[in-house]
Amino acid sequence: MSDLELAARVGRVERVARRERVFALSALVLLLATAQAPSASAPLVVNGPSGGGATLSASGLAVRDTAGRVRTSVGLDADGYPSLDLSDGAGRLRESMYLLHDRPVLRLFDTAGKRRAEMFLASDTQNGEFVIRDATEVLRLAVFQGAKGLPEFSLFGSDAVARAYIATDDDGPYLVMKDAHAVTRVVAGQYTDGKFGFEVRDAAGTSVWSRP
Amino acid sequence: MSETAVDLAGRLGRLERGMRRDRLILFSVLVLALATAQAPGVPSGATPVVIRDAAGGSATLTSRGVTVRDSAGKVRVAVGLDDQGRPGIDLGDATGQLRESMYLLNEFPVLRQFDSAGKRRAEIRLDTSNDGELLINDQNEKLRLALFRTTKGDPQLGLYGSDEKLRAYFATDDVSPYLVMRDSGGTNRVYAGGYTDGSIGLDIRSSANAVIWKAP
Repeated sequence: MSDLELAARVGRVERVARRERVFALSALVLLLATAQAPSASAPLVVNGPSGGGATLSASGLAVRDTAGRVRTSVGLDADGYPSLDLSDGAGRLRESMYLLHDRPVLRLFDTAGKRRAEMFLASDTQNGEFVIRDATEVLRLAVFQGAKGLPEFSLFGSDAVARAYIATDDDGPYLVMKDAHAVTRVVAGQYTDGKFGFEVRDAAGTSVWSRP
Repeated sequence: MSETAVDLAGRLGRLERGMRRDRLILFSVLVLALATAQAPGVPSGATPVVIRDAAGGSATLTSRGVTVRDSAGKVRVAVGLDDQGRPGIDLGDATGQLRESMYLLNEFPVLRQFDSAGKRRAEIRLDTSNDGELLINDQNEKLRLALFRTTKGDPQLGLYGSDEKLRAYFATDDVSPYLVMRDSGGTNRVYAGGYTDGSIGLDIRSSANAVIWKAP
């Protein structure tokens, strides 16, 4: 092979190498341009044959009934709270388990949307509470750990004022019953002086009978 | 070596270097492509489906359930089967701490609420007899209040001291209800309601458990 032919062959190989370099660099540029952080993606929708469906979005999963109403929703709600929401056939929220400002809450709603029963941790003490409310959302019954950490069972009138409660500290329990004016009328259990007994008071709060 | 041969040798050397460089570039492209490869958007077999929003939040559907992460990447909701195969739903706060969980624990349903320190503070569940109960614990996870059914089946409200010992309970059987109050030593000090002999009354007892007053 002459030097001339050899030079021609080397020249061809050089051209091929330059072309392939361009291809490789182009591929690299394309990859760098597209290999960024994953971008927003479209929700995944699964439709049932009768019209219902489930939608998985970045905020969670929503399940619709055949009427198109969301009946179950789990994920981050519109306020960004993690939650599980269950709704009735009319689309009304009836049960919700969620974190309200990072505070665990379980709420049960009536058909009017009123909170009727709930279990939660208090926002200040993180003590547990279970409460029952009436149709006007007035508190009527509660079991909880109070601000001082004492466990208590309380009953309330329709005015949301306590009528009776039984609580205990480490020394002993006490039961208190009040009239409609919030005057204590019956006390049973341990008194503040450490004694145990019963006491009945009149409407003015004066003791009228006590034992022992 | 002739001048042409020297020139060709130089060109060949450059060509070899260029091809080595090109090979390196191609290898880098391959590595980068493998490192940034993503799952396809359409579900396929065992591949998890990841849905992302523009803020960085995401939901991931796997064969075990759905996990929702906030824009900080913290798991806030997980529903499905947990790592021990229990069905449930977990809600986490902004720090990723588990705060509320509803699941089947050894096949018994339970809903638990945790404080920010991770302590169980309130829960509702079925016990091993399948009776419902509601429990409130203090910050040390000591039981302080319970609504439940006793082993005899009687419904009962129990109040406990910080030592987790019963201080008062209010319960009923089919005959009559009864309220019992105890001191820190565990001695009954106040009794009201039905006695075991069928009578109903009130009594107060001393710290030695001696009746000091009774009516009727």
